[in-house]
Amino acid sequence: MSAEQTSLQFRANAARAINDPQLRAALRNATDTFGQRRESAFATLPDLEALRERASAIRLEVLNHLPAYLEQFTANASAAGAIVHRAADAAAARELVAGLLKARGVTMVAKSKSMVSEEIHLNPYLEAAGIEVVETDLGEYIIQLEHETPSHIIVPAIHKSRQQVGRLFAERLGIPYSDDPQVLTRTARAVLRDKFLAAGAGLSGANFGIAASGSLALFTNEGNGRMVTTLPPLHIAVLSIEKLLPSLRELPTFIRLLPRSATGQAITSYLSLITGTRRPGEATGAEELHIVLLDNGRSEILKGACREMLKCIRCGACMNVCPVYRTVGGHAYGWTYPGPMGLILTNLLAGMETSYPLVDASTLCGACVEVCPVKIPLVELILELRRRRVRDGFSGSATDLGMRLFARAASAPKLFNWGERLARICWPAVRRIGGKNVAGRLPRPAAKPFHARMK
Amino acid sequence: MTSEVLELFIENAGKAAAHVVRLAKVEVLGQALAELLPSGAAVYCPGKTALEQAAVTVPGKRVPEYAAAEICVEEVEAGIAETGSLVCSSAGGRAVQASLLPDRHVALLPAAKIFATLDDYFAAVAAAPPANLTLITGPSRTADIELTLAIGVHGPARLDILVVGEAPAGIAGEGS
Amino acid sequence: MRVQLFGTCLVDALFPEVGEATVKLLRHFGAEVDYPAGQTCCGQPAFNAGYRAEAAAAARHFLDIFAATEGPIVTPSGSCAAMVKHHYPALLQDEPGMSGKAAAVAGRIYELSQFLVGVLRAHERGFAGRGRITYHSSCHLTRSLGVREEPLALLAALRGAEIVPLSDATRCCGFGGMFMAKLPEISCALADEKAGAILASGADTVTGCDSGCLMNIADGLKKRGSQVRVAHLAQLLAEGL
Repeated sequence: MSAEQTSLQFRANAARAINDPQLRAALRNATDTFGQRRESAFATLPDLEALRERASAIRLEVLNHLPAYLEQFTANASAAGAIVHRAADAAAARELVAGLLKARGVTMVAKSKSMVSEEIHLNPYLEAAGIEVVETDLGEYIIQLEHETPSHIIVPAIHKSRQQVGRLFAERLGIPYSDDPQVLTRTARAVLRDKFLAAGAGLSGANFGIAASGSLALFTNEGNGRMVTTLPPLHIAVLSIEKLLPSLRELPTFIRLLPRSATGQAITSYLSLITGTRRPGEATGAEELHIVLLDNGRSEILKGACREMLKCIRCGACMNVCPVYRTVGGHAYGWTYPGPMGLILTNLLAGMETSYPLVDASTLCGACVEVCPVKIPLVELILELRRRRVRDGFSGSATDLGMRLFARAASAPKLFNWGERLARICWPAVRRIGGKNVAGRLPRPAAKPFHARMK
Repeated sequence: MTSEVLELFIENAGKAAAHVVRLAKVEVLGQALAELLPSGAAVYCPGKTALEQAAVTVPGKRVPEYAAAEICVEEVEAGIAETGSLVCSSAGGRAVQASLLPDRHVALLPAAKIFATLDDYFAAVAAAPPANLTLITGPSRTADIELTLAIGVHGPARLDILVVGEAPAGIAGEGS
Repeated sequence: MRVQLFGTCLVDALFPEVGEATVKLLRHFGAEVDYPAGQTCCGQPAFNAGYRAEAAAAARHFLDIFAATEGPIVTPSGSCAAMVKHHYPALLQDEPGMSGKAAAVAGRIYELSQFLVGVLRAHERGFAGRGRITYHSSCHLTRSLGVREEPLALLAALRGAEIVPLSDATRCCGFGGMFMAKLPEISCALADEKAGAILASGADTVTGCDSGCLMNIADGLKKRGSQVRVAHLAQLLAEGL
């Protein structure tokens, strides 16, 4: 699957996904499991509502004073030995990273999972520049071997069955076929261990930047995040500007919410707090640390009605409960981020013109709103994007006309009732025009409507 | 630090699939390690702290490089009862990655250094964190294939925690 | 007491029997039912599709009709009640005259089960029931209005009926209003899953409080060749009087 955005083909992508029984089974298994694990994890945490309120307040505080927090983060990270760069957009970030690697003669970089690096299409750019990028997160490694993009922001290969992974490893790594996840994992461990030790640089994301100390916080389970940030002499971290917390005192709130929301764990196996470079006489840490703070449209979003989307901490809980995501999976959305947060963020970052069908990818059921750990009003944001779609002329002239007629009829009872009668009389034609998938699913209008029975 | 905090630490570490052993005195450390570790395994131990030096009688062959070791035996900086986590720190020239590369991590944790909550711990380090602080909770793991849990990915497949000594009564983390 | 009935456009055109059952129930429990003439649609289809001006036109008409009345407004639809209650005030906030009406009317509207249980205490009486009934909890009813217990209390009052649980009862059925028309493939897939859960429950009847959901579910069941009856809670209760 190429990195080309296919959001405009969402409906066709979705239809294909629906007819893929293996994908459907994988998605059902994943979303059911996530649901159970999240529920169990939060059952033991007292006062979830207060925690969510606090998390939302902390994130809003950061958004409301973002330039100041970014300055503070930059000053403190620099004081600890990091070099902090600001990248206005994807192209700037790609050039920056490639430039840093080339200047140091790096030919192979070990990478731990970073959704923002997917957003800026970093890997293909580095590969084209002659730098080998090795994804070391097991899920990312799998899709890298398959030349695919992630279909979920936490579990990138969730759309794959164990048999598919087994066949992939057998073909590409030359091992005897096994579909036992433990065996496949040990294989990845062995293959990637050499890469960690030989890499000229480590590339990572960060879950949060901590402004008061200039630290990066990375939540990981596999150990690859720790490897790429401490073994190679050069570490480059890319994170988007809104992913800050004021200080380490705010971190516990997110330690309690993020892993539980993402995977149902009370805490991930590892939480790395990286503050600057290896000091003289020390034995841990990169000698050189570059932090790339990416804007890519976020400053603009911050000014608008959808700014609360920037509270997102990338936990994936919303897509795990979304009936649409559950049915079609992540690739159908056509870009980096899927599910409720994905359709909103894609629209805000990539623009209405290339993503407007996505705003329909919701029944407005509100399941996402219930689970968002930072209380993003996701349904309200989707409604706002739909309003913008109409305003910007992406709704289609037929729908515009239909809605104008609707408005007329809704304000004029005689017209409304007349319309009902007409629909009933012409029902076969309505069915034919509407199609069996839409009008065909409605019953024929009643001979005597309710208002006639209430005269 | 109360015994409740210690019990909570042991319970939560266990839930995260760490194997926890409680040792009342450092004197029994050598014996405990002898029972725990297979003879002949390549063991790395920094040998810097008092506990690590008490652990010097571990069976198996000592290797000077952690990259060549199957087992890393080391003292860790602190524990956090709320999550059953260990804290490894780069302060004082320690190599945090020493416990990452080998297949097995045996952590020596002084009972007095267990904090009750995440808030307590981060309040203590907020002022001046070192270059690397890593919270370790259980062995490495993944659920990337069909959400099936697999233990032991890039980091250790097994974590043993030996909690050593008595804690002074009082608020967790105080005086440590 | 006197109540104002908002039938909803779906009930008016496609499911008038639900409106009739609603009237019968309200009258049985002592309410006088007024049906303000000239009512049409709450405007939700336009609002959800991003057509605010068109939704506002429908809302103004609704308010003109209902603001001229007094007392509770009852409607057999969770999503329509949610539209009026939660969206009307903001939709019309910039229109002097209308915004006050919107706030007042929003404070008066009830979904039917909410009214039957909360005000009329109908669940304390018994109803005759039969068969095995399972309940689909509609999204706007539960998540927007917070109406979770009332339908269950009414179902529990159906003496003689066995209420069987529905797995994933709170998962969306795939109706989503315009969603059904815009992304029918996904809508049908969700309706099919819901149908599967209904069949697995062993029920002979599935009920709910929103006709849109029930319509989508009925199509899902029909596609599976199922004979399970789909009926609005109002109908089951009215039949059991």
